[in-house]
Amino acid sequence: MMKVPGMFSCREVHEHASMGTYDELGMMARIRFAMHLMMCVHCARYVRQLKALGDYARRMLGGQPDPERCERIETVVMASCDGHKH
Amino acid sequence: MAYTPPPEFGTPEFLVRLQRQDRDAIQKVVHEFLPQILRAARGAGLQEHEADDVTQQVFLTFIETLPRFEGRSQVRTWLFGILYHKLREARRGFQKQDKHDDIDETLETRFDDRGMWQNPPRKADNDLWDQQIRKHLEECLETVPERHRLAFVLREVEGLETKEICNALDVSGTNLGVILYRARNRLRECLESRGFEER
Ligand SMILES: [Zn+2]
Repeated sequence: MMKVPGMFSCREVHEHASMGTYDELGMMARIRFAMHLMMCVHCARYVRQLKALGDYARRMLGGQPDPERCERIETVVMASCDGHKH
Repeated sequence: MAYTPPPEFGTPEFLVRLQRQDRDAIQKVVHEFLPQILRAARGAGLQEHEADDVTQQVFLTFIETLPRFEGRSQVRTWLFGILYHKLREARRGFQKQDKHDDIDETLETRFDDRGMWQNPPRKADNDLWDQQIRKHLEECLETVPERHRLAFVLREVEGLETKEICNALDVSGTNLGVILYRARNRLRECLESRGFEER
């Protein structure tokens, strides 16, 4: 894709997407960002892949831990909480 | 998927009870957040037994330091902050090492001097992603410095907001941006190098 004055470069799109600074962009900048993605297959792919990465990490690591394990730790913590105060 | 803590946790009454180390209030917090802390400890790269141990320590420290908790950050942020400090104590990988990271050099080769892709991301093979992603992502996560990994997990898995992560990890917003930038790109580069590309 050609560099157009006033448009984001691929590098800038890449940085906003991976730093998370996209969230801080104003409305006009978001429109420029979206326009870039419409015209640039590489950046669109990059952004899609980052999103997929987050989704997969969530799926892989985001499950509820074993309740029995949690309960065991909770019991220890609360027991020492009681011992601590009296 | 944004997580909302029980509304009671944000009230001044609850804060006072916590500061007085009220058992019932403490138990509510422990019960609500223990699974999240445990999950984040695992996500940050600890083995199961290490994660159990660190989680226990986080809550013991939490209870001890409650009289100093002023409620300026959310309870959850405070807990993740304690987790971060415990991990730093326990693991050398958590030392701040933000100055140089070789992922930066890899990324340099991706763009030309006008900021256009000269080496664009390769197209992912969707089937391959679904079938094998777990194994590869697990191994790729191992290559991410632990502190970066924790930040990535807090953002992507636990869904913490930027401000919360900055508080918990004691970094500026700019620093966090660099950390996430490096973590995400390292993971993406790692997956791409393992053949997640067009057939
Ligand atoms: Zn582009």
